[in-house]
Amino acid sequence: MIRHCFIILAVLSLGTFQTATAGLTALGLDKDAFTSDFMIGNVVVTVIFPESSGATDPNSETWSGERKTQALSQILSGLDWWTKQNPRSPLSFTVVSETVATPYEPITRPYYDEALWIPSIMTTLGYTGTRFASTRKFVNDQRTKYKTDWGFVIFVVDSLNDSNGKFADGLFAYAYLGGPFMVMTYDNNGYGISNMGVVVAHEAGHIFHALDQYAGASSPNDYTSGYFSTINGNHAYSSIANDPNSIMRGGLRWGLDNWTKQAIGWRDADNNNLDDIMDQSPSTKLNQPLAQSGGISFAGEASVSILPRQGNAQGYGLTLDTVSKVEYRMTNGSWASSTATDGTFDSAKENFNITISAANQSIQNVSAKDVELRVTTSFASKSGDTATSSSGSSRTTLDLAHPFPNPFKPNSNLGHTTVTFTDLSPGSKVQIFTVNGEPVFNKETAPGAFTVLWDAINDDGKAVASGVYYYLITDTAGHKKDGKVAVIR
Amino acid sequence: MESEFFQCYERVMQKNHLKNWAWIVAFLFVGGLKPLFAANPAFLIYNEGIDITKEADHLENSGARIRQRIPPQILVVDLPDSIKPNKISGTKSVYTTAIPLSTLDSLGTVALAAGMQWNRGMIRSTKASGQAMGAMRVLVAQRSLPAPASIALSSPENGLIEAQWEAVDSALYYDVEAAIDSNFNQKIASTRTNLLRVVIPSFEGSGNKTIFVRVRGADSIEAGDGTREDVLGAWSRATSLEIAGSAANASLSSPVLTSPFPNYISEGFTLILEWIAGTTAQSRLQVSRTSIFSETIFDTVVSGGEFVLPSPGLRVGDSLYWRVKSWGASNSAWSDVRSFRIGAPQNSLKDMFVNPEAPQ
Repeated sequence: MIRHCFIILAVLSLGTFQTATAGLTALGLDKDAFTSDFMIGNVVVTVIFPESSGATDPNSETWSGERKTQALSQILSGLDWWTKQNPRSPLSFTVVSETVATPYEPITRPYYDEALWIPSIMTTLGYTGTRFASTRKFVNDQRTKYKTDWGFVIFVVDSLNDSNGKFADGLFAYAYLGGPFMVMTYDNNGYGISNMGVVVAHEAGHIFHALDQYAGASSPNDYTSGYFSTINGNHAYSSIANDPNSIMRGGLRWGLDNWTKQAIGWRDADNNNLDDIMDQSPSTKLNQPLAQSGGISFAGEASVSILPRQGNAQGYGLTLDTVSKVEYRMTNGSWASSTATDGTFDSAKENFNITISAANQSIQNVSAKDVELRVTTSFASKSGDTATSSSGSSRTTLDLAHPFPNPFKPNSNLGHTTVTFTDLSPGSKVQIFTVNGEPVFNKETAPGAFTVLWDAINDDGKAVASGVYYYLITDTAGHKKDGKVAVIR
Repeated sequence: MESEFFQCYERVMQKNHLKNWAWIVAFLFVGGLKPLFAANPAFLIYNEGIDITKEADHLENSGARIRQRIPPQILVVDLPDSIKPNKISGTKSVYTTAIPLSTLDSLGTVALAAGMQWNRGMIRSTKASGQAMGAMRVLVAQRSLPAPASIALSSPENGLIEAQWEAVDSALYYDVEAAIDSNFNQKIASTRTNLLRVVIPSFEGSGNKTIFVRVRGADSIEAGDGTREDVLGAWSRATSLEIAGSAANASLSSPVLTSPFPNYISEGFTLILEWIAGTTAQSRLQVSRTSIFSETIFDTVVSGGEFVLPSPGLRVGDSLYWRVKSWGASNSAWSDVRSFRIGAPQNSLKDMFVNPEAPQ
C-alpha cells in the first residue's frame, strides 16, 4: 500500500503571503462563469466611465478629469479597506479605468435601462450579448490580460448635473451578487462623492456574495449566499445579529461581521489560520517503479483538493491552491525534491518524477509503498516534519452553529422544506426533543459535511406538531450547543 | 528624530531631490513622531516596461503583501522588515511618505487617484499628536492641493462679487474668502462651494471699496475612526476688485424660510434649503455652525429661493444654522434662524440584485 504523507509546508502568517495570481482551478464548474466567487486572491477591477455621445439621449453630463480622479480615489479607498480585513489570505486589486462612449445618458434613465447602455458600451469594447454575458466575457478577458483570479466592472455614471444625483427610479448604487458588475453614481445620493469609498466597499461585498443587512433589505436573515451558503445572520431583523457596525448594514459603517466574512469565503473552521477553501489536504498517486540504468524511477501525480462549493453533491468547487513542491524519501531517509514533469510546480495538478540511484541503497526490492511523499501547496500550512497525513477542515467550536429558518413554516410556500442546522463541524450530532424531553430526531452530519437537515418529521416518520422543540448539538470534541426551534404548521 | 515616515526613497528622480529634502526637513520640524507603520507600506513606481504582475509575484513570494496593482507601473505593498524598499530592483521611485501628485500625472488617471489615496492613507496611519497631525495635514495638503492658479472677479450688479477659478486636482470643494484688506483680517464673507464659480456678497454699506478675494482647494479624508477631516490646500494669491456695497434698507421685506422645518434631521448629505424670496430677486444665504453665525460655512448670494447644500466637507452629526436676507444694491433684515442636523445616510433602497444569468 502506498503511504501518502502530506506534510504541508507553507509560511502563512500576518503580513506574509503566498503568490495568488491566476491560480484559480475549477473542478466540475465553468471557471469563466464564476468571476468573483470568494474574496481571496487578486481581482482586476475595471472602472468604466460612461460618456454620453448625445446620439440617443441629450447629453447632460460630461466627465472631467478631476472628477474621474476623485471617483477613482474613492474606489481605491473602498477596495483598499477590504485588503486589510483578512489576515489569513492574500487579497489585492488590480485597478484600471476606461472612459467609453454610449448614445444614452444613463443618469436620466431608470436603472434597468442598464440593459441598453451597458451592451452599447460593451459593443464598443468588442463584446456582444446581454449586459451580463458581454460584461462577463469582458471581465474574463481582463482576468487573462492582467493574470488575476477574479474580476468585475464598476460602471460609474456621471450625475453632477442631475437634480437628485440618482437614476430616474431612485437607485444610485447597486451590484449583482457574484458579479460581474456594479453601478455607481458620482453623487451617491445622500452619501456624496466624499463618501463614495464606503459605498464601493459595500457594493464590492455584494460582488463577492455578501448580502444586504439593513432594515428593509431584500435579503432577510434566512437567505443564504456564498461559497458556504451562509445565512444572512447579521441582518437588522435577525435574532442572532450581533454587529450593528457591519459594512453590509449600509450607512457609514466600516466594520465586518462574521456572517459577511463567511459569505465572501473567509472561514477558518479549525482555527489554524487558513481559510477553509484553501485548507484542503493534497492527494498523491505514485506508480510502481521502472528500472532504469543506474537506479529506478517513479512517476506520480500530486493534486490539491477542492472543498465542494455550497455542499455540492458531486464535490465540485473552486480553489486557488497549487502544488508548489513534492518531496520524497525512503523510510527514515532524508527528504529530496522530485521533478515536475512540465518543469515547474505551479498548477493544481502536477505530474512528477522521482529517480533513486542505485548508489543510494539497496533498491532491488523497492516498491511504491516504500516511498514517503510530502507535498507543499501554495496556501496550506506546515504541520511538522514527521510523516503524518493531515485531514480536512474540522471546526473546533460551535459558535456559529444554528438552525434556519427559525421558526420553520413547512406549509408557508416560502421555499423551505427543511430546517437546516448549519455551521456544524463534520461528525456533529443534532438531537431534537419535545418540551417534555421526548426524543424526536437524532442525526449526525455526513462525512465532511457541515449541515444536518430536519424535515420536521419525527423518528417514527410522522410530521411533528406545531410547537417549540429543543435541539442539542454535540461535536466530536464534546462541545455542546443547545437552543429552541419552533415549527408552525 | 527621524522616523520611518520620513524615509523617502528617491533613487531616480534626482531632479526632485531638493524638493523632497525640503519635505523631510519640514516633517522633521513637525517633530515628535514615532514609527508609524506596523506593516511598512510602500508605494512603488516601476520603470517603464517592467511587468508589475511578475514583480508582484516576486514580492509576494518574499513575504510582501500586495494591496493594489495599478498597471502599468504602480504597486502598493506592505513590506516585511526583511525587504528594504530602496533595494527593490526595477523600481523607479519608492515612497513611504506622501507623493507629489505631479509625479503621477504622466502615468494616468488611476495612478493619480492612487497617489491621492496613498497620501490620505499616510495621514490616516500616523500616530502623531494632534498638533503635529494638523501641521502634517497642511503640509500634505499643500503638496497635493496646490493653490488655484488665478481668480477672475467681476461684479454682475451692485453688492455682488462673482469669483471663478481653475480646478485644482483632487480638490473636493473650495473655500472662498472676501475681505476689505489684503491680509484678510477684515473679512466680509467666507463660504464654501463644490463648483468653480461662486457669487458672494460685497460689504454692507454704501459707496465703493476694494475687495480682496482668495480661494483654496480642500479635500475630506477619513480619519480612520469613522470620522472625516478636512485637508486644506494653499490659498491662492489675493485678487482685488473695486465694487459697490449693499446698503441696509429696513423697508425691504425679509425672505421667509420654508424648508426644511426647524430642527430637521436629514438622511444623509442631500439637503435643499428653500425659502420665499423677499423684495429682491437675489438672496444672501448663510449657513453656520453656530447660532450667532460666528463660524460660517456658506455665505453666498443665490437667485430664487433654493440652495442645494454641497455635501463635501459636511459630516454626519453636524448641527447647522441658516438664515436668509434679501440682497442686492440694498438689503433687508435677516429672516428667522432655523437649524438642522446631518443624519446618517439610510440605505433604504434596494441595492443588490441577483444576476439572472448567474451560474447556480
